[in-house]
Amino acid sequence: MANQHMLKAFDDALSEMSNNFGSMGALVADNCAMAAQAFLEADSDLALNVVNRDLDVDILFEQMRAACFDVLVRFQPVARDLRLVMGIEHAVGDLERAGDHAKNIAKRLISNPSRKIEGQDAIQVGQLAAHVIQSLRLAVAAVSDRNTEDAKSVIVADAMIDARHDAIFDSVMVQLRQSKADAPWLVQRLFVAKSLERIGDHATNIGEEVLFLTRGMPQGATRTGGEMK
Amino acid sequence: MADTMTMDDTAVTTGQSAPEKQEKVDTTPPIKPAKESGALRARLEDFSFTYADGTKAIKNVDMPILDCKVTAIIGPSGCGKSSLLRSLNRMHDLYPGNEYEGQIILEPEGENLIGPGVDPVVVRLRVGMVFQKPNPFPKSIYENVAAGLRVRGIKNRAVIDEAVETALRRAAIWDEAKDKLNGSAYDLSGGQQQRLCIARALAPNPEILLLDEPTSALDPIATAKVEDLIQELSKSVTIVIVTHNMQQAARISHRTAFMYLGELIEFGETQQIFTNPRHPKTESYITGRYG
Repeated sequence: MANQHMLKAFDDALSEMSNNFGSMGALVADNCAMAAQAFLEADSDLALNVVNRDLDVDILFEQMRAACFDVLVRFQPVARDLRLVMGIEHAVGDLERAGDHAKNIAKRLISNPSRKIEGQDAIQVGQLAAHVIQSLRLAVAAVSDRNTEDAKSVIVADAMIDARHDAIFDSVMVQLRQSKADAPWLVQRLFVAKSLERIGDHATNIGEEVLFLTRGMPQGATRTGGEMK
Repeated sequence: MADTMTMDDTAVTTGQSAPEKQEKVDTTPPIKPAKESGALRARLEDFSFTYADGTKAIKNVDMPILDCKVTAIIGPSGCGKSSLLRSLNRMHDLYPGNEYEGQIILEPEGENLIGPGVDPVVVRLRVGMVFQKPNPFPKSIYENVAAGLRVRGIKNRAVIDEAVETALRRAAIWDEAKDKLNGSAYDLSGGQQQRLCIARALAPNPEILLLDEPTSALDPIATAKVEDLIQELSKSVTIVIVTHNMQQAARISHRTAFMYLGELIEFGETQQIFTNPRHPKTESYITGRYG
């Protein structure tokens, strides 16, 4: 923010909200990375850690929402300030859901112990996970920095994430036809890939929130033919 | 945001980052109002106003005023919003040397309110005004409301009785005043006095009602009553309100005009102005970031 509000307390509240969003985003992205790693390496201890850390995500989510309402009640923000508060209030919902997907990957591993994935299969899932987590981290940073260029990169990258997910789906289908005995592992991989793809969708939503809070573009405008200015 | 605005339009250094940067003065030109699709009650065309001492308070304003809608004028002190409001019913004519330029066209007749030969007294009957502080006449409630009718030359008691009751009802004060119409207006509370002043302004059936910070002297309950009244009245009369309370402008107006240093910087739908203003100066002002 280039210049200060008349009320220092207001700028402080917005700044704190923005910082806490960054912390929550980092925690969720770390959890997503840990969940993917746990799946790839069939590490149920790491998976348990992800499930436990998701409680922290949920607590932060509630704290962030309360902080948003607090700012609305105390300062009645308008224009970009209102969009920032509303944008963060929406974005923390996306972060919380992304955290749930990470937890779901971990819980799936705990309830159905998998085997370590190797070779091309591991590369495929690993690349999808890396791409998704990179998008999520970039989207979170774009909120903190109000960086529309990074936000647009996140939105554009979603198509590549979808393509990587589709490639895993196709690969699993081929392997299912070849070996029905591996069906439990293969279906598990499908679910994990879907969870990662959904995390990518939440990163995209957060990217769209950045366009909303910086430029007032309604969320989803880019999906309904709106120009990404 | 790259812009910074101050009351004297000079740059200030309020950046949060260290070391502090000298910020640029915003030079974005004012945004012309978009063409309105709804019916207009009035429109300002290249309108300027200069006080007798040479101070140009309003500079080349083009602005539509929609029929039966509330138009709010906001801006920092000294921006020209009250001067603009007072131009609409030619209050400035009360002081010699003040000068209007351009046109204030009253629709649908297309009559220029500041044109030569237009009687300011007649204008004030067509464009009523209510001020910041309740200012009832030192007379009875009845006589306060009847005053404008008597100026119009109406003498028939039955006609005046009916008009007084209608005006008091429209101003939502009939129930509180009907049993003490002959009592002093000064016996009413501040909020009631302000609604009485609104009734007084409504009695001659004006086409436009001007409200100059009408709730700034009222408590929150009286303010809420006046705001509800404004919303209700806007169904039948065009209202232009000047307010320092931006939440009030956001709550009750359909269009908002932001003025700064005598210029109309931005005019638009109130929701757009308060959620996504287009001009950096509007953004700075309504978000509380100006010096």
